[in-house]
Amino acid sequence: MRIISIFICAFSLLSVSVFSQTKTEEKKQDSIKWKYTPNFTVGVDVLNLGTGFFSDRQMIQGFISTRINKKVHAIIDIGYDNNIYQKNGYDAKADGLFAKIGGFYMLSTDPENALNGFYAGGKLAGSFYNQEYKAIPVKGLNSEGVFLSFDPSTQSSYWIEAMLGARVQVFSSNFFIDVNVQPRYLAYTTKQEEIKPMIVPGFGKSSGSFNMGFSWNIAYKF
Amino acid sequence: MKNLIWIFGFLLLLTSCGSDDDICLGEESTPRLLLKFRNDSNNLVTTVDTLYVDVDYGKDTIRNIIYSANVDSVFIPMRIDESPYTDIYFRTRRNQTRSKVRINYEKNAIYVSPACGFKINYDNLNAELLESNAVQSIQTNNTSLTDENNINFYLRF
Repeated sequence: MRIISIFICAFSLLSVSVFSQTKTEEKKQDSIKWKYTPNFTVGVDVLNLGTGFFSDRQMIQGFISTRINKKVHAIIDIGYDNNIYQKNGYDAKADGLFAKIGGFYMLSTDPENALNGFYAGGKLAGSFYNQEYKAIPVKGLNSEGVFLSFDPSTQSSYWIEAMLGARVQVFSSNFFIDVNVQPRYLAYTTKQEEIKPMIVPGFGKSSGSFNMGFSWNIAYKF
Repeated sequence: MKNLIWIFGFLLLLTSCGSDDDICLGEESTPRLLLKFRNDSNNLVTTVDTLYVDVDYGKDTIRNIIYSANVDSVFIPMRIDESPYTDIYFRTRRNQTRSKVRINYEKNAIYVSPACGFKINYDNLNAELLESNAVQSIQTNNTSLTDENNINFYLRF
């Protein structure tokens, strides 16, 4: 846990230094009339990729976004998550693919570069995964250490998430750094034997319906 | 910009009030067997002046779970593991030979919540008096155990 915190801290410090440098960059003015031309930004979440080396959760996720008018961008996320849950007598494991689709609105942009700035948006997300509950505790007085186990099964979960973040160009290159947080709410999940899933790939810990995600992406604009 | 901080703060607050998966409240646990007592001679509900209850939970030793005076009823937690029965021992004096009662049942595992996991409900309860001494006989009252509101058996002393 400590290593993860240090890792996240190092990432944050790095992002501060990048922010400060880009302020001085001279950028072309965006034309007043915006016309859609095919444009894509592809990003990879390096923070979660990195923390995967130190924690039980391995998550790879990336996004493709396109600017559809002056301030609105559409975005699709795709990822793979492999996670375990071992706590309070539970021993569970889940792995699978997830996808999100949504859009975001540039709340405030750098006057010199319309692609830099803060944004807010929303996404609909779904996850299709394999889960295995090797142990679920049975509660009874004077009887500790009694568990039930279940066969692996395929399940799916759906959630909505908000998205708040910032995107900033790295010097004058086509690379961007995109940092965002995703408060999310689990709307629907299929269940095995009525068991509420403890972890959902892409969502995280799901014993409560609310969760918060954090991602730190390096993106490239085509 | 200030608004952004407020929105962010609010959302952070929202995510932090999700239910905790650590706390399981007692009433959502496996229900206990409820026993009352009757006088063997006149079949009236009675109290027992001293009662020791020991239960075999499948461990190395039999566990004493109740030792009290002037009891009119007892709640006994039964086994929740694979065993199809629970052996319960009763005596009214410390050095008395124990009466052995075997409760047979069918178990149903019922999912409660992420914090509690599963609980067990028992059906088709059936009591056998394997060794009588203090307990003379057993009367069946309710053969299903899904909550702690019904008396399951009367022990006749």
